[in-house]
Amino acid sequence: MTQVNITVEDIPATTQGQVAKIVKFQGQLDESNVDEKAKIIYSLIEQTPQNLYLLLDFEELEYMNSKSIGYLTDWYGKITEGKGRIVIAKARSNILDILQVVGLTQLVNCYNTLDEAKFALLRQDVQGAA
Amino acid sequence: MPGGIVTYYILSIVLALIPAVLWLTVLFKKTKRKGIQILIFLLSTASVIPIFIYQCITDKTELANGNCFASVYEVSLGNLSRFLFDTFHLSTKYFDSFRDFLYESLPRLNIEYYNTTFNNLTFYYILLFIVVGITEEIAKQLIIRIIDKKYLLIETMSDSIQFSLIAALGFSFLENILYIFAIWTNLGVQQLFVAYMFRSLFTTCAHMIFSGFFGYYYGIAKFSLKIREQSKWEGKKMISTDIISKITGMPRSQALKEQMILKGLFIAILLHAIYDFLLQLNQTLLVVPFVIIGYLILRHLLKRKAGNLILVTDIDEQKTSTMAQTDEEVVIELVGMWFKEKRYVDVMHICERLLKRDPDNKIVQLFKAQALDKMDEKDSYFKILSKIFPTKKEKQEQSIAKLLKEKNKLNAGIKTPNEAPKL
Repeated sequence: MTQVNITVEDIPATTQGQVAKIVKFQGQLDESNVDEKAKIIYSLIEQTPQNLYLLLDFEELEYMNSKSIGYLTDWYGKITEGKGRIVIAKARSNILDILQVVGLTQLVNCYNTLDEAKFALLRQDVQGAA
Repeated sequence: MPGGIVTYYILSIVLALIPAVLWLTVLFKKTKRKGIQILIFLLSTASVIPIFIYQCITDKTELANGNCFASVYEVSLGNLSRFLFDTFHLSTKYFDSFRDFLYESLPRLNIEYYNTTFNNLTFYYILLFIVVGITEEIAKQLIIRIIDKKYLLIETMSDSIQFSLIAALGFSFLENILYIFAIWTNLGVQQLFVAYMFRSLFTTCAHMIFSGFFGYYYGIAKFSLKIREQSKWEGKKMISTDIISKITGMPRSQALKEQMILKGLFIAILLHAIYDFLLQLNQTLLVVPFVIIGYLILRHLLKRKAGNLILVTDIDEQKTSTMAQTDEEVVIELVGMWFKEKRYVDVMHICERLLKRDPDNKIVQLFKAQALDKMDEKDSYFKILSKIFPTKKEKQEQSIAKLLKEKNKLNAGIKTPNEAPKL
């Protein structure tokens, strides 16, 4: 089994009812581990079905397979359905390339730095989250 | 025979030429390389000749007795099937046992019908029509294969169907001459009109349908390497191909090629045999929907975008991809996965973006074309379904396209102050 570590940290929320977290990915997401690791994110969604704000830190993610992209789309759908938000930070060029071709960068905003990503994640929209 | 044999033949040729020209006009409208198409037509016409020569050698008496070419041709195939029939029937008792078993097993309802129809003669006719089907279909397809090898004629799956239709038309043209001549000289001009109309409309069309199906599978066989690769990305299991590959030791794409050619031949022969058998049983009313349904299926296959996709690759002119191979493979794998999940809109959009990076990737082109075809089909089915069940609504899928639409809708009404720069 290829190694991949997923760690979850809280981010101080800026508004009431908001639950914000940084999810840090390290290693390679492939067929051998993706189903198991995806459960971590699903459990977060289950715990906070509304107003979940997730920052996916891809700095140390070396590879993601097709299935993990499928999961990412699904996470986006579920989180935005609960009026939450999901952003990606520091993705490597190969991963960014894949996400762009798939069309996911149109849905999930990607940022160069963690600060930019955090700012975008927790910003307050005039009419709510997107 | 007033007017002499030559006059009858000339008139038969003129009459047979009318449906051939009409069909050719329809087929020529859409295609290129007309010279080669005429060559296919002429060679297919000539493909009846070896069977005729064979008969001349083996059955001189028939010819000497003044029997026309058509009957000679049928007798020739009849001899072969009679031989097969005798071999099966006389040398073994299996057929009798099988027939007895059927008699016993069949319900008492229509025993008389079965007693009179399912007899030796029926078995003989089944064999005859299978032999006729095999001979004619192989003859027609041989021409296409030879010309394609020489001129690299077939670039798309639809080309394969199209050229097979022309080969069938050539074959049918000569067959029509022989039949028109036979009916005219043996049964008279009164009988000719109905037979001529039927052959022009239905038999000619039926020949094209049989060959069209063979052409379709020949097209798949020709591009088996790419189709095999696409199936692999889709996660399709090709168990029968794998078994053939293991037994014969052939590479899988070669095994798929042979399998498709045999499948096409089998379908063509089966349709041909059913058609001939229906005519033999005087079930003309069944022949009409048989031909119409076959025509509609073939028309659908010809219209498919995947069928019209040029799958021949010129390596010298092929543009290299601007995407890393492993990354591209991840995307293609996702395309295959989502295609299997019927997320055709996403598949189409991803393929469009990927083709900007790798324009000559035939697998991606194939996925895109098939996704478009599926969307068209889905649309047609939905239209038909919604007419039958007006309240039934299609379940919306959670696709990127749908999510994006929702996001854009939401963003249209949202102001985002001091937004950080996106990548």
